[in-house]
Amino acid sequence: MRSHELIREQLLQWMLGEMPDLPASDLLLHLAECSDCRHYVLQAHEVMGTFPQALQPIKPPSDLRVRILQAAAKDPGSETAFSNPHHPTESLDEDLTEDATIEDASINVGRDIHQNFREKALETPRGDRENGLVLRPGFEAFRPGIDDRSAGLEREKDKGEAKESKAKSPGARLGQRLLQPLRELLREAAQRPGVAWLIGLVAVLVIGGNAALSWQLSSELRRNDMLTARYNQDIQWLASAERLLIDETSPAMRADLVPTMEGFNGPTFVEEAPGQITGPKGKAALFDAYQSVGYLLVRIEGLEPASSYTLARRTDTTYERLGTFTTDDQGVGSYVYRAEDRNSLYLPAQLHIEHESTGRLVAHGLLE
Amino acid sequence: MHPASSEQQSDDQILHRIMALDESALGELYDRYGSLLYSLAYRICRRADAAEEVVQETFMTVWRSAKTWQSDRGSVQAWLVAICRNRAIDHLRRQNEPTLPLSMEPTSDGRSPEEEVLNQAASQEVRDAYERLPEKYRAVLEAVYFNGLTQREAAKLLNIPHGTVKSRVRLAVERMTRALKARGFTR
Repeated sequence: MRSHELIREQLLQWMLGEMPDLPASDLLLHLAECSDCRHYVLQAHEVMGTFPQALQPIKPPSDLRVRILQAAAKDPGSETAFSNPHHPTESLDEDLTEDATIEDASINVGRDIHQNFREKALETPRGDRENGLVLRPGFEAFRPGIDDRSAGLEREKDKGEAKESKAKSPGARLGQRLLQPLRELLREAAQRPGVAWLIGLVAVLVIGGNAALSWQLSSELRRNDMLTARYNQDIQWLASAERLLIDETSPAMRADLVPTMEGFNGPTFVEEAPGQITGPKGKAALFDAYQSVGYLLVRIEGLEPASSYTLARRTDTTYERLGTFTTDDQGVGSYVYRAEDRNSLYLPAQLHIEHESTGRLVAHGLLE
Repeated sequence: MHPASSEQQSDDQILHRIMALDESALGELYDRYGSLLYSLAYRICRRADAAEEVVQETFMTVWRSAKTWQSDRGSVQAWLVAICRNRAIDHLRRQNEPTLPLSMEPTSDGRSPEEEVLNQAASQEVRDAYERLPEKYRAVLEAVYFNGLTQREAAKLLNIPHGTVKSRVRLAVERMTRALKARGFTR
C-alpha cells in the first residue's frame, strides 16, 4: 500500500484543482478504506477555507449585493433548477460552467465515448498523459462543456454571418456560374423527352443518395450530441473534487479480491513459505453517484503483466460480465464499471476476475 | 472558518433559509462572506470586474445548490471558499487581460460592530498562523492557492522539484491545521 503521505499529497493536489498523478480510482479506493485520510481531507478542506482570511479584506462594489439579489430573484433557485449541482438533468447547458473545475477525462471506464474523449484530451498540451487524465482547464486545455458551448455559440454566430453574406459572396457567384450549364441542359431536356428521362433518373439517384447521407449524418450528429451531453453530465460529477473527496468517500459496498483457493480451475495462489501466500489480490468498492447511477471501482495487482482480464459478477442465479481491462507491465489492473441501475448491484454477489483468453478464474471476492 | 461556536449554527440556519428560497438569507450570507470571497477572487483574478463576476457566480451557485450542502461535510465558509476559488481560477485561465486598478481599503462589509470585532480577531488568528509558516511553505501556498498555479508551474516558478512542491503544500496545510486547532478553529 502506498504511504499515507503520498496519498495525502495527491489528495491535496486534487483539492487544489489539479488532477492527481495517481489514477483517481486508486485514491478513491484508498479513501474508502482509510478513515484517517478521510478525516484528513475534511480537515484540509476546512483549513483551506480559512486561507482567504489571511488576506487584507477588500471592499466589493456597493452594488454587487443588489445585483446578486436581483439575479437570485429572477432565478428559480434550487427547487426547480436541478437537485444536484454536480449533476444536472435538465439545465445541462446552463450548468456547463458549474463546478467544472477539474476535468477527469477518463478513469479507464470501459466505454467508447470515454475513450474518444480521452484521446481528445491526450492531444491537449496540459493532458496528464500517463493516466489519461486532464489537469485543471488551462488556456488551451480540453474543456468539455464550456469550450463545446463556446464553440456552439461561435458556430451559431458563423451561421448567421454566413446567411447575411451568402448573396454577395464570391462562392455564391461561382455557384451561379456552375449552375448555368445545368439550367441550359434542363431547358434542352424539356424539348427532348429521352434526355429528360435520363436526367430524371440521375437526379433521383443523386437526390436519394444525398438524402440517405444527410439522414445518416444528422443521426450521427444527434447521437454525438447525446453522447456529448451524457459525457458532460459524467464529467460534471467526476469533475468536482469536493464531490469525490467529501461526498463520495464511503462506498456503499466493498469487496476484498483474493486468489482462488479451490474450484474448477484449481488454486491461483503460490505458497512461497508456510503461511505466506502470494497471488492476485485487490479491492473493489461500489460508490453511489447520482440518480440511479453507481460506479464500481476495482483495482487488483499480482496478475500477469500486459494481459486482459474480465470482471464478472455472479450470484446464485446470474452471471454478468461487467467488462474487460488490461494490466500494466507490473501486472496491475483497474476498472471502473458504470452501472446505470445501481440497485441491480446492491444484492451481495461474488466478483470474479477471469483471464480473458483462457476463462480461468484468478481472483474473487464477495461484494457486500 | 470561524472558531467553533454559535456562529457556525447561524451559518447553518442561513443556509436552511436559502434552501427555502429566502432571498434575504442570501443577502445575510453575502454580508457575512462577501468581502472575504471578493478579496480571494480579486487576489486570484487580479481584476475587479472578474472578481465581481466570480463572487456573483459563487452566490448564485449557493442559491441554486444550497440543498446539496450538508453540515457534517464541512463548514459553510469552507464550501463557499472552495466554490469561489474554483470559479476564480477558471476565470484566471480563461482570460488573459490586463488588470484594472482597485482600491484596497479594508471594509466592515455591513457587519454589526460585535460581528466585526469577532471576525477581525478570527482573521488575525489565521493571519498570524499563516505568517508564522516558514517562508518556503508560504511561497508554495502563495503560488498554488492564491495565484492558481498548478504544482508543476509553481515548481518552475520557485525553481524547486515538483515533488518538493507537493510535500511543502502538504506540510504547510498540516502546520496551518495544527496552528488553527490550537486556537480553537476545529469543527
